[in-house]
Amino acid sequence: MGLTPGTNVNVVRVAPLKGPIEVGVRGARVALGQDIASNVFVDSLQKHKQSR
Amino acid sequence: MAHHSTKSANKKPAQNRRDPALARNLTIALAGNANVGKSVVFNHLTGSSQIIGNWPGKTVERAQGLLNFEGRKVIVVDLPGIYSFSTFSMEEIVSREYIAFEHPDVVINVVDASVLERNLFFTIQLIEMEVQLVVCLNQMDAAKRKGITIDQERLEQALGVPVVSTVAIRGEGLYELTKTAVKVAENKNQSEKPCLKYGVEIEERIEKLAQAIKSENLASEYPPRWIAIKLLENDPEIKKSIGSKSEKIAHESEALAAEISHMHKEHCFAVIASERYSLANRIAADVQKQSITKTTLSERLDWVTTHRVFGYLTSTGVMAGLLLWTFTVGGLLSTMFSNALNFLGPVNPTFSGSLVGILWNGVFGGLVAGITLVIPYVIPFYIMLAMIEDSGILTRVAFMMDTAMHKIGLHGKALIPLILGYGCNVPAIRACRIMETKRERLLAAFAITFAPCAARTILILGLVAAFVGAGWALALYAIDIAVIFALGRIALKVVPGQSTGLIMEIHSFKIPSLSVVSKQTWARTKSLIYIVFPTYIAGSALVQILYAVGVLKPLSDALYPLTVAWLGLPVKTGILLILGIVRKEFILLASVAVFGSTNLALSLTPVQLITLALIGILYIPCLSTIAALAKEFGWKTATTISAANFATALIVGGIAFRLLSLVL
Repeated sequence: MGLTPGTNVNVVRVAPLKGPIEVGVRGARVALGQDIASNVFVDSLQKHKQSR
Repeated sequence: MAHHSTKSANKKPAQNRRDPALARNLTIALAGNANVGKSVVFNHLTGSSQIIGNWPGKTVERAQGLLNFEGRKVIVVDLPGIYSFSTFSMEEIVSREYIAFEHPDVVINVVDASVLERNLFFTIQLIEMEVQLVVCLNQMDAAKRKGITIDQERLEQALGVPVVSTVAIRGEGLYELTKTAVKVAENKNQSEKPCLKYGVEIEERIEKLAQAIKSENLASEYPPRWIAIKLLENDPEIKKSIGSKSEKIAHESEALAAEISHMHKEHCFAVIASERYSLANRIAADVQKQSITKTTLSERLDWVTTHRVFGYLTSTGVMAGLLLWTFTVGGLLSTMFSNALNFLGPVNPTFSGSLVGILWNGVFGGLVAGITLVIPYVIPFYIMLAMIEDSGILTRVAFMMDTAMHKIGLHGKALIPLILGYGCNVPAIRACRIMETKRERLLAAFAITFAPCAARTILILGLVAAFVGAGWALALYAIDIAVIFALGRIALKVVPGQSTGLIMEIHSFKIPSLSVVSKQTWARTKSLIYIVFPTYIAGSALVQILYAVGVLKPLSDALYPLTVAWLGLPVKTGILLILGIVRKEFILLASVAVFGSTNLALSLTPVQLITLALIGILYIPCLSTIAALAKEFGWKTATTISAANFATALIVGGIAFRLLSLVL
């Protein structure tokens, strides 16, 4: 679904009760179950910019 | 690229051999992601001339239709909605095999303009398959609302294929789309096939491998460059088929893939997917402009439907509304239908007389039951459900319910078949095909066999709400849901395997399309006609004969230890439960005849009424459901599930009887 290394991802919302996470990726919105979302490793873009 | 000559050489003759009548027809295939409006385009093009079936040997639906376009007969094939040509799902395999083996004259790639980048990922793969392609840039109105403008000409140049903008739901641009597609189909082999290149170090290796494949002269329906890419992606099917023909190629592809993965410190398939996405990203960024917009209505609705409080309220509201609508409309229609049919002659479940009379009574009774139950309740339910589904609300409900579904080893998407089960279990079991693995399909189907379908609800209403009280009827509903949960958890332990997680695209809200809703409703209700109606008719005739011959009474007497001793029911209920195997609402209908009065409270105590309803709901999936289970999973599974239902009913029923006796 377009979650490849180096892709910008933003969290749109998180469902309550440890529910799925809705992320915006490549202009689309995708809901990911907790188990799948926990395998998505991210780095803060802000931090990235500062360190440069 | 020069290697499409080999493809066209064996193309037409193959089709001629298959069906000479179709030789001069053009074939258009529709391909694209799920929910991009592909079905809307398909319905517009083919109207009522659709044939819906299965792909040979697969549980994937195949839709085909005929289009008369300016004197030409055009066959339109609607491929399943997919995101990629891998082997992740049956749909993907079916689609790529169709394109490679059956050679449609042109493929229309329907693309959601409001999510261009993600859709282009698939477009790129279609280009890699070297098909004659036209891109249909659909949902331009939705893109506009999101502040996105797309330069159509630039996109054409970037992809090297014609692009047509459409708003399919309003029919805009579809004439132009068809015209372009027909033109492309008729001028094929003249145009240069476009080729989108990857980064240098990958492209070099693809080229090298493709050359090797060409020189080995491996007979394959797939283009060499595509095979090369798939080999590098470690595609199991292609690897197997190529590996069996040429070990040299297999070794070379492994070596090249290892080089790529060494360079990028990633699996080669991930590198290629990344590259493809960055290609899609570059093209999308180049052709579209995003202006800042106000919060759209869809976004506001999103906030409400997924809020931690309002979200659950709307989810519950949607479900309650759906059931309320069904039973209000269903009740009205059912009364209307049964009045109309009673005019032809009343049906007496305990009819006796000549054999022909008995048989006729059974057949007619089954038909009446089908007409007064299935049509009035199930069809309105499915129409409303299809609207909820197409509007995008159901996706939000699934999003909110994912956590709960995980408790029974399923994820949010399983909610759709489960809700279908509230109408009728038969189409619901078929709908389990949307689940990714066989294990999940099985778990979902098992849960469905307990779902309170229209017939079970009638039983609850007729036995409990009418004679004991509405509160107890609701309690039975609650117990049923608790049973689904408890049994789901047990099944989860028993069926080996891993659960898969939820990956589900969240689409913007939209106004449901009439054609999609009616098509979806038909797809679901048609299994009622070929499974439920015949079973109802044949089953009813059979039990009627058994009753008349006098087999049922001794049988029900033999059930004494279960019915009377364990469940505290009158011995006559044995007859009801045997009849109820055919169709559950029969328990209610026949009890009037068996006890000789419409006031069942005279013959049964409140405890017995509740216990009978509870047993009636749980004790076995009805005959039609068992047939549907056997069709999808085989007889062994169908029998096991039925036995599990029976055991559950005995345990829950026995406990309920003892507890209720203390209270009531």
